[in-house]
Amino acid sequence: MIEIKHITKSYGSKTVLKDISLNFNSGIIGLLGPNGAGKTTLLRIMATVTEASSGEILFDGKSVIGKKLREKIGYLPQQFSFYRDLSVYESLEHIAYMKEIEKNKIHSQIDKCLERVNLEDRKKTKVGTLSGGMLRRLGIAQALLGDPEVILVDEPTAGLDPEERIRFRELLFEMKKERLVFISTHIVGDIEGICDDLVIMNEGMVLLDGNYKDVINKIENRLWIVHSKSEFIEIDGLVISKTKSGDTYAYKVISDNKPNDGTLITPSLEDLYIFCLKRNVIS
Amino acid sequence: MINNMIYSYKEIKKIIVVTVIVFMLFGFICNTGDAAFIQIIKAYEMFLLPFMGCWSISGFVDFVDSETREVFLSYSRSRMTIGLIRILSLTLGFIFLCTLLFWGTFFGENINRIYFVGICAEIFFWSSLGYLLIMTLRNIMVSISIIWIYTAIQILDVQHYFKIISIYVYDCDGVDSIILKTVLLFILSGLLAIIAQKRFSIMTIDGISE
Repeated sequence: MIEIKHITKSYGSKTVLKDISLNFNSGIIGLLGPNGAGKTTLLRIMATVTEASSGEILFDGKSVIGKKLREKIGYLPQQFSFYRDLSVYESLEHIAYMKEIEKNKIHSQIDKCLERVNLEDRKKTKVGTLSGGMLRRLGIAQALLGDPEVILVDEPTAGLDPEERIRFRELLFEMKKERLVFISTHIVGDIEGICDDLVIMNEGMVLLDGNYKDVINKIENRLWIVHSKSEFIEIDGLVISKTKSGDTYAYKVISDNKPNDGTLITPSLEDLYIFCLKRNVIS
Repeated sequence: MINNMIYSYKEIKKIIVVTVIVFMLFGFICNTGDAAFIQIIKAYEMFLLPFMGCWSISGFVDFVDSETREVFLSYSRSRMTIGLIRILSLTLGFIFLCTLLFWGTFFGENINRIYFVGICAEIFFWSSLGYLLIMTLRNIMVSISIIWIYTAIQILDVQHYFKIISIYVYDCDGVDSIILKTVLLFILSGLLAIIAQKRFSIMTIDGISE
């Protein structure tokens, strides 16, 4: 459905995206990477708020730019706010106009979106008085207006409390039934268990991408835990983490061969993420 | 569409309220004072009309504000429509207020009507200049400052060193001169508006400092 083809973005001599090519059809796509990895820039290019230095975005095989691309995209940037003096409903009316939604569909669409994000009882509340979580939900509602084919969400849970974070994850999970959802985050917990495809990025490059289960399988049967009293160990493999409990250290190690005293453990997304970043740093 | 214009302008209500207060003040002075006609025209041009620039600058606050710009730039409504509607509605609103102000005061004589057309040209100029400034600088305070710095220079320039860049019609010598300046101002305003619109059409988030 959507194909990102050889996207490169440079600011002067600094290249923040290096020849990114990705291809997705449906579900939730998790863009995972540390700050400065290029996730936000990639989403901004897809949302047309910034231009790629080179490359193109294809929808169903056809190159789409500008207004045509905007019509297909719903975007929630990391920093989102709206006119503080407008009510939630007025804000969405304004956005519906900005998104060129047909006049006779505006009210039904707004009601539907408010219901989706559970803000029906806040229709008349001023945007300026909404909590951080409600503002993010309003952000999702505005992205959903116009029924776009693709939703782009940048750092969706930044600044939210744990309860709101869970609610927001559930909301994003529900959205995937009808459309492609891109979630950019540096927090593994935001996408663990809900994304269908995963892209791990660092320094403007894609380190790993593919189906969530497939990419996790890359370290299946290769992740070991080794307990040692020594602060440093020599091991045939890559140590991805070290934790101390009492006087014993627990090392998580990626290795094709079983280390001495190593126990095989089930890998999590966090293990894979740390592995990718460490491998990238080493290489 | 009217709702949406009201929503957009709710954001700039402070500058509109200030302008209306200044309008009322000027209206009161014009109707009760005994100042010479040309003095009043000069006062209007120097202290009142630059507010039009402030209106058009503030009219695009959603596209430059750090919290709203990103999402506004992602919407599909054509920038040409947004630019035209906002600039035209604000300019016509300002001309309407000016007409109210002038009504009954100056419209009795032909020369005053010519001055009024000149003032309308100035309003278009300020409107286009404000539009261009905000699209180029993307900073409300800097853009508004430039407008008032220009005005301050003209006010303080009693020796007329900067007459060459004066846009005011009060200092024209005769009807022909007013008409020429008016025509030039309309042409210049059109050019500025076209450049501003072109900039708006290709505006992205890049280059806006955090």
